[in-house]
Amino acid sequence: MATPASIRPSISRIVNSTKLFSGANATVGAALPTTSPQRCSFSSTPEYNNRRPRRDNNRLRGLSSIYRSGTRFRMNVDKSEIPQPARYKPEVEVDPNHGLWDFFYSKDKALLTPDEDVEHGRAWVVEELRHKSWEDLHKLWWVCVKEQNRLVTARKERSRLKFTNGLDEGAERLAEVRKTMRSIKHTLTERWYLWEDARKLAQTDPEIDLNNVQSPFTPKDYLEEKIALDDNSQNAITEQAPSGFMAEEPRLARPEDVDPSTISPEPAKTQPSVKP
Amino acid sequence: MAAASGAAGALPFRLGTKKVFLPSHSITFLAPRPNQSPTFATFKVPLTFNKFDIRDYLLHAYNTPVLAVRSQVRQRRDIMKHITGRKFRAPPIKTMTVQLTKPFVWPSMPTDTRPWLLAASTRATDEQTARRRMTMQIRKTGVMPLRDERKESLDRKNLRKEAERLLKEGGWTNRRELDPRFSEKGNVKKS
Repeated sequence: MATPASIRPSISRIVNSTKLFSGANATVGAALPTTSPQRCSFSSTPEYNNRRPRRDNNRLRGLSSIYRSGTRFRMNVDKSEIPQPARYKPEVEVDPNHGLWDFFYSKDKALLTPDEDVEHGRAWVVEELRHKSWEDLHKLWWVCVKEQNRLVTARKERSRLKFTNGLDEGAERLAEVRKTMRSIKHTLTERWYLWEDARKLAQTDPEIDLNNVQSPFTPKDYLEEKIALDDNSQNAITEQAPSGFMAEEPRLARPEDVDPSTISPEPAKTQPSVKP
Repeated sequence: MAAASGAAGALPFRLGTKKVFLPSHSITFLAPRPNQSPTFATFKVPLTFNKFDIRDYLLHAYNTPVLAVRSQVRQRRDIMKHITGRKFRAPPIKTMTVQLTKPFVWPSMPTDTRPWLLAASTRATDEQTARRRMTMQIRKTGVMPLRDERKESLDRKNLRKEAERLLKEGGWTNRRELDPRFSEKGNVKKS
């Protein structure tokens, strides 16, 4: 078995040489009748004698799908001899109003320099945001979200291009944006608790009817109230027990409001039991 | 958010109905691969995102309708904690590639990279990397490399050169006049 394997390359060489010979004959025969001399060769592939013969006519020598050898197939032509394809890359026109531009600071300047990155203001503080409406806060939140996206895109781009300077500047700017977002959430949480407290207070308030959506607040006349209190002062005190969280104490319980002469001995006894 | 959907015109898909008022996650727009078509755009998204989320997000926040979404989750290597030496799995990275209706070419990045590549910052980064690599090597092999085995530092190289020159030529001076009391020939007063 050893002899055929060793012979095989030599056979291929012989075959190649015969091909070369016939090919040379063909070119000579073709060139003779035509009068116009052809300057460049007909084919871009080099002559047969320039080609590197294979060791053993095995086209797939050294290729393996199991061992991930990659596409290292050997061509008969050198890599430098391969004709380059024409460089055709279509010019794509980007819409100047494309939405994805919002991921960058400007169209001509995709990345801010560290000096430009430093030029930013401070975050919004809670006290400033307390005076803003929900619409304003929501808009500001989305401004922050987009700025955040812009900053993380720039951060990724800096690391992709292996830039070493400007990392801290970007991080500081991002921290300011996050601070604003935190303040917005703080403001909204605060507002929600205030609203909830007010609602619970309104439930205990006799002047406010929460079921009446049109005009929940119906102020009672002072005199009318006083007369009513005089009529059944005893009942009013027992009824107006503090029922809810942060509920205001009943007005009658305050000593400065009450005329001492009108107080009957009974309510004073019931007072301690009412308090939680 | 709802205002933007009007500008996009008739959409070939049905929009989500869940209202998200205050999303705090950040979306990173990633640079395209070398041969990626300009009609595709890739984003790094939080792991909780799904294809519908990014579609509605891009439509409402960026007014960019999307034709199709492909999602990828890339697992990461185990990370060893420096202090405890324990390994833990870092959370995977989710990226989504969307097909755009209008092409978007990634803007050209600055050609003059001097503001981002200062000599000092680059040197600091390189030193840090080298130090970390050496630490990891020591931890891995358990062998501390001797000074001869390490790469010679620039300071040491200069010192060696100077010493060779001194041995060959001599002429060392510190540019100061020697106090006569310390010289061998001088008349030293005995007190």
